[in-house]
Formats: sequence, C-alpha cells, structure tokens
Amino acid sequence: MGKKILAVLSAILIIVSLCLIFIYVPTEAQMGVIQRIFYWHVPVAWVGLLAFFITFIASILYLLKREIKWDHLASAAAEIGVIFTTLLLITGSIWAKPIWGVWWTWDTRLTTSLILWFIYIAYLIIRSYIVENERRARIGAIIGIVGFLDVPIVALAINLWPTQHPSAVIFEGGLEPPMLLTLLVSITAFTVFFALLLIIRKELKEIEYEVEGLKQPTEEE
Amino acid sequence: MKQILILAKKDILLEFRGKEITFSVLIFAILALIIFNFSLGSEDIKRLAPGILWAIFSFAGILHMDHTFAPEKADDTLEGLRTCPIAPEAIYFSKVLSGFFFMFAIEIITFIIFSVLFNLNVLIPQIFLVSLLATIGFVSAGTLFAAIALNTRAQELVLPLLFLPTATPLIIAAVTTTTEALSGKPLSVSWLGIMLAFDILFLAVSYIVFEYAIEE
Repeated sequence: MGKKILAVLSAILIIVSLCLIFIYVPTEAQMGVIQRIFYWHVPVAWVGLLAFFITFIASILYLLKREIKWDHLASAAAEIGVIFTTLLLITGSIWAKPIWGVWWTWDTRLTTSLILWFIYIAYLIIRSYIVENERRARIGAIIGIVGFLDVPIVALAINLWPTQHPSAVIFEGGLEPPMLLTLLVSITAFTVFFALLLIIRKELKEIEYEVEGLKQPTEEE
Repeated sequence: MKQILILAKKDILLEFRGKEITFSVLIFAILALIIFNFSLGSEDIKRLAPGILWAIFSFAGILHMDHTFAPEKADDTLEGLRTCPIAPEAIYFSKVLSGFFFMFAIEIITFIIFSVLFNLNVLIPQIFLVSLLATIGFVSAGTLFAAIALNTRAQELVLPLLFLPTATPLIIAAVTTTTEALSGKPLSVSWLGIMLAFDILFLAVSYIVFEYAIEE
C-alpha cells in the first residue's frame, strides 16, 4: 500500500517537476537553455549523498545489532547511491560541455563526486567477492562506515588542490523565486522516488536472502 | 601497549629472518623508477619527482600491505592470536607499527636511490616529515583494508580498490608538500593538517571497527 502511494506520488511530482523545468521556469540569462539541467542535477546529487548517508547509518546499526535487515538497507541504499552518482557525473558532463567547453574538468565538486563513486563501487564489488551472508554484511558495514567518514577529507583535500580551471560560479547572489520553487519541487520528487526505490530494493533483498536460505540443505536430509 | 610492541617485534623479526616481502617490494619500487626513467626521460623525472615517487609508493604500499596478514594466514595463527588474551586493537596497532617500519624503510631507501640515479637530492628534513605523516596514513588505512581482504575471493584486488580512492587526500597532500619541499618553500600547514587528519581518522576508526574485520 505504502509503495503504491509513493509510486503515484513520485510519478506526479516528477511530471510536475518536468512541467516546471520546461514550461514555467525562466531561462537563465547567461547559460541559456542548458541551465535547465540544473534542476535535475542537484536533486540527483542530493539523493546520492542521502543514499550514502543511509548506508553509513545502517552500517553502524548492523555492527551494533547484528540484524540482517540493516545490511539489506545499507546495501540497497549503496546500490541506488551509485546509480544516482553515475547520473550526477553524466548530467554534470552534459552541462559542462556547452558552458565550460569541456566534458570534464578537475573541479572540486566533480572530482569529489568521482572519488565518492569509486569508493562505493569498491563497496559493491567487494561485497560480491564474499559468499557468506554474515561476513558480507560485516565487511560491507566496515566499508560503509569508513568510506563515508573519508569523504569530508577527500572534499577538503581536493578543494585545496590547485586546479587549472577557475572554480565555477553557478549563481551569483542566490536563486530567483521561480527557480528556487522548481528546484525544491524537483528535490522533493527525487526524494520520494528514492524512498520508493529503496523500499523496493530492500524488499527484493529480503526475498533473495530468504530464497538463499531455503536453498541450503537442512540438517535432517 | 606492551602487547603491541611484542606483536610488532614478532612481525619485524619474522620479516628480517625471512626477508620475503620488504626486499621484493623495494626492488619493485626501484624497477618502477627505472621504467619511469625510460618512459619519461631523466629530465622530466626531476620535474615530476614528487608525483612519480608518491605514485610508486602508493603501488608499492599496496603490494606490501597486501601481505600484512600473510604470516598469520599461512599457519592460521590469526585464530591463535584471537584466542590469546590480546585486545583486537593490539593486533591492529602492532600490524600498523611493523608495516610502518618497513614502508618507511622502503621509502627512505628509494629516496636515496632516486637521489643517486637522478642527481637530485630528495633527502631533506621536510621530506622526512611528509613521508612520516603520509606513511602513517598509508599503513593505518592499508592494515584495516588488508584485514578486510582476508578470506575474500580475488583477495589481491580488494586492497587497491579500497585503498586508492580512500587514500586520494593523502596522495594529493604528499605530492603537494613534496613539491613545496623540493622547491625550497615552507610546507603549507593546511596540507600537513589534512595528512594528520587522515592519520587520526583512520587510526581512530580502525581502533573501533578492526575487531569486526577479523571476527570469524
């Protein structure tokens, strides 16, 4: 029931967000039409970070309580986080090309997102290397905690690192009200959509886990 | 504390007797220097020295740290250590200590050989400080990741996959400060601070989570 409500709600919100982006919001003066990608780029970034934060919290809870449901939550969130970080890198490149003239620049935010992506790709790969459920959950939790705590230092270091390109100014002096409204609607839409994906993926993981358990031969046989 | 020292001494003695890993990793580091010499030419190597040295140390470090738990694995002595009345953190800190000892030695010898081969003196006090801070970070993160890598499939891939992205701040900081040191500038405090923050973060977090990593 909850899933249905979330599905309908996220569908409506995403359609509203698309309408706002393509019809309602005024074109940004300097960058032109391409700037409209901003209204999805930022929510995608937000969902990615939120997902990794959930992985972090669920990882701590797993180590404390040793209940497999926290591992399901942590790994489901990490998978979705990686997908959204991938989308973040792609939308960022699409936006960068017409504005900066290059697909990629070693700017703080881009580079930090890339490192973040690599850390969670490692999380997923290493989980796939471990066969036993308990061990996979335990090792995954350690990486989920360490990886997340590492991110501020990565961001700090890359921020200090002398890049060739001037740091990008997205907006000087804040957003106009229609732009802010569009952004907020998009962020809400993506957050609801993320909640839906997370619930579905977590349930799927629980079913997979159950099937895995059923496949094990029992003692009596 | 005493336990840590005894365990670290055991690892260092074992390595001195066997000379299995450290010597080979050192040879690897020197070979890498020679490959860089052929691919870049010795003039460019001088210009790019900080980057080349820290790239080599990152890879050599991975090779070395991958073997952190090798002696324990061979005879299943990690099981033995766990049943001893030793705190799991003591195992971790002893491995960090012995790992640091060997990595630092490899770095110093590579610095000496670099200075000789390319006629550029890199053996200056500032670089020792940079190496000290960077190596503590390398080893504190690497030891935790090596413990994670134990008993996984594709064990040798786990460490680089985890270590390289998480250690980026450390590598950036080490390269930048080494560049400053070689051009005679004072080391910037913010970069040293980043290395220190990384060291403290990984030592502290590993102190808490290491026991989960070696649990059976």
